Amino acid sequence: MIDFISINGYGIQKILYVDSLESTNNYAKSMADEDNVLIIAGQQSAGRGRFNREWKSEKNKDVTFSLIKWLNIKDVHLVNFYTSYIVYRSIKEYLSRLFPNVNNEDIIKLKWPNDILISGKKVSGILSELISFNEMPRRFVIGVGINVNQVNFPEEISKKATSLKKYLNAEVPVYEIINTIMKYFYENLALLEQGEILMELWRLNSDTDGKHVRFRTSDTDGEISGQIVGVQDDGGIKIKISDNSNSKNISTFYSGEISFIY
Amino acid sequence: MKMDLKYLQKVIKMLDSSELAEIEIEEEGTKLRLSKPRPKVFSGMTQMVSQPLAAPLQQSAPAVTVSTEKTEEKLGENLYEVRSPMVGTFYRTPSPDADPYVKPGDSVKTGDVICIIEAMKLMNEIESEVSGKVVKILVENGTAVEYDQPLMLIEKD
Repeated sequence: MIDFISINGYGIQKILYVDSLESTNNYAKSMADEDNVLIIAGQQSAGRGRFNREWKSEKNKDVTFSLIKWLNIKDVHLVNFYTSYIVYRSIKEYLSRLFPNVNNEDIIKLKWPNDILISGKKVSGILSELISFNEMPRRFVIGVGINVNQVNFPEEISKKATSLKKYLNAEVPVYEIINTIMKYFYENLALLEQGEILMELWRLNSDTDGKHVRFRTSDTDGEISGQIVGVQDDGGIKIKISDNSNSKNISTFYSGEISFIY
Repeated sequence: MKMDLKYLQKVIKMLDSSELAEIEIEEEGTKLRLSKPRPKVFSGMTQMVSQPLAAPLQQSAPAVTVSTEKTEEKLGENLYEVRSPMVGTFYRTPSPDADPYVKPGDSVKTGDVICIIEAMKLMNEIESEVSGKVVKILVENGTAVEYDQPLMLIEKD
């Protein structure tokens, strides 16, 4: 049984907790004609990521939720950068509250486009959906996953993923963090109207510039190697592509997956 | 669901002491739903940029259509070209294994989702601005598209 978080409003009108859901995003999409609804799953059985990569979750060990939020926003890409920044801040705040003696300052970082890393491994991911692009306010379903007390990762994922418990070597209360996220989310909405400042905040809390990466584009044939130059205000990532001809050209990408070359 | 009184009291207390209007908990097939009358707009709402005081009114106000002339342009009398509203990746299906939203020959109504443009892990569901028949899909599933790039042709009813 979920030990219920006391979300004190902030802007949320309705909370739904379901012990097991295929995908909180799909569930949320079916009721997106209501604003400010928070859907929490005790377990997500078919979490979605791009390229069919699943976000695994064990029952009541991780945080998986979707927030339905209507926004009068022109630059839609800001929503995921905003959310990842908010979740990042929340995780940091949460950990320093629970474990005041642990210094997380340079350990938790943002990774393009909207992952949160602890010591270079993914602890949280965000996948959002915009329903009805052509109508204002735009209706967003913002999906967030955080690995909290999960410690058993499949072999192929364990190199790239971690959890709060793995990092701290201690059990962490699971659901209270949603409270912190909602508080920050609703308190800082003004940032969505100041895209340049938001993107600057985002960049300041990411340290991927200069890193050598493999970049997998959505095109089936696309994988390139290169070096991250930076993230633009429009959300695109600039990569200096290294190829055999030794010519160095810089391209901007808006879609794809980064993996670091260590 | 193990519906012990303590738990129930806890949830009631939470609902009562918050600005929430509704809580629903579903476990092992049992559903618990608690609601109270919609709260008055509280002072915190004024800080919300996107949803100022008039939020409840917006829900009943007709939706404003924006930048339609940019996303779709008239080609001939009855032929409409759906254009990409952003840079991203074009997807014809809601998820990798699913059937495409539309294929040539399909009828679509205004408001039907016809494709997704993904950019920075935001899946933008693109709705048809017209009712008609899909004539041609101009872009391969999973490929990168530019802003304003034609995506498909729809023959208007």
